[in-house]
Amino acid sequence: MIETRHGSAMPLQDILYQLSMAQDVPDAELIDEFVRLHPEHAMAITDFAVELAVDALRSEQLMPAADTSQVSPAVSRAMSKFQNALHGLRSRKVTATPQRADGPVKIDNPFSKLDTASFRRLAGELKANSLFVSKLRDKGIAAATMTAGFLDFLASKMAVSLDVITAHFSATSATIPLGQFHKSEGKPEAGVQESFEEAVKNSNLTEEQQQFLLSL
Amino acid sequence: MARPLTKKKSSGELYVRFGQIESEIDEVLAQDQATIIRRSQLTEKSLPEYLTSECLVHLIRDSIRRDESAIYNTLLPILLGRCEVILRRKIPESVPDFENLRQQVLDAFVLLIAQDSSTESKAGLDYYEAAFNRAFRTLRIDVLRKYKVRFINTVPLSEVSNVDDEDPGQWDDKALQTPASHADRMMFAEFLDVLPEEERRAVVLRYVLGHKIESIDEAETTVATLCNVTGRTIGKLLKNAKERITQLKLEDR
Repeated sequence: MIETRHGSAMPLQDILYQLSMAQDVPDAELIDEFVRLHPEHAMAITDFAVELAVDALRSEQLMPAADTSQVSPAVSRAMSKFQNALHGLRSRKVTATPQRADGPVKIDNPFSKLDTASFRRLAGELKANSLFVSKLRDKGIAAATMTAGFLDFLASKMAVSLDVITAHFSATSATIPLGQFHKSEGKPEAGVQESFEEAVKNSNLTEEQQQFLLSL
Repeated sequence: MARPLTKKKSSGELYVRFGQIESEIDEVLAQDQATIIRRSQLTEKSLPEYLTSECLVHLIRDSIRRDESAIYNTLLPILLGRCEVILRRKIPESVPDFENLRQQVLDAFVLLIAQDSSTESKAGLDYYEAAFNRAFRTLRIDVLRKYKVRFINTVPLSEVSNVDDEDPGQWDDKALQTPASHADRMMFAEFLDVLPEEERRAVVLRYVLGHKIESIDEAETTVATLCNVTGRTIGKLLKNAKERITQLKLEDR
């Protein structure tokens, strides 16, 4: 039995893994427990449970053994993606070390290239608003709380590589960009970061926009 | 000895591997690289030296952390080959854009593996060492769910305006209940995929997962509370779903 605790701060991704791991096929009782435990994600949990249940209807046939003698094109593409991602992460580690000794090294902010119109267009493409994109630009959102799906989506909408996006967010603390427009009453405060979920909830986004961003 | 898992359940309890997996990892960690690679290439699950997917995940994670590329570059394609078998079954060619969806799942999985060695890792691969198939289905379903959100217009369920003043329970029909045989369940799943999203959700919550349509107890979780509509609306959706499925069955004969 799961301990009852309302409004947990657990990321949605972990909640879905835990729901899936709890039983082979979920039942009404299990869903009830998860919805009560995480009411803020009730809709996502319900949708996911529906998919798990339908998936289970199809699952009972024995699967053929994998042929390990040949690598399929899909696996080759995935391996290539893996190598690129691993290389990107390791390069970041290597370049990060001397930066600390020699002072901050400039990492291009991909948002700084956007003019006002492009900035608003990006907000629309992300199904978000300018306030939320400003938080992204100013690194006001803790990088570790953003889902891989969101980072991927952001990179695709900005037409830059995932490495550029992750490098931007992983560059030490929040910074105040120079020469950028700020619509808020005061300038953003450096160093204060929200979690991804908090940022989604505190950016005047509609329920639909919030649900979309949190589902990524 | 196998490195302990660090991922916790909501209760605070740590995830653990099954005892058999733990023993398998301990055994294989004491073996040389050539033996590990030979064992990883076995495909018959019944063979005593067959390596489970949970064990492969452990070996891949460890080899990435130790930068032993010969191991992870050999083991990862084998694990991905097993994933591909699952995907061929779960995302059949009848699914629109099936190739792209299968690739998206594989890509999401390798990104999770690559990120595991970074300081930003949240130990997500622990789930895969605890129960690989359940963890992988989470990723697979999540990718499909996001695909639906992005490319298929799913709108929040709204109240049906022209609901007759009828008892919603009258559509609580056995015709929509989960069939007993495997073949019938497979067909039922296909019928469900043809239903509009809101009808599909109502049928699955009621007849597959077993929720009540509605309850006089406001605190009780029901199909109506989960869909945020009245029991009458759910009744109407079930009625429509029944009509559609009956028609599909007739066409299928």
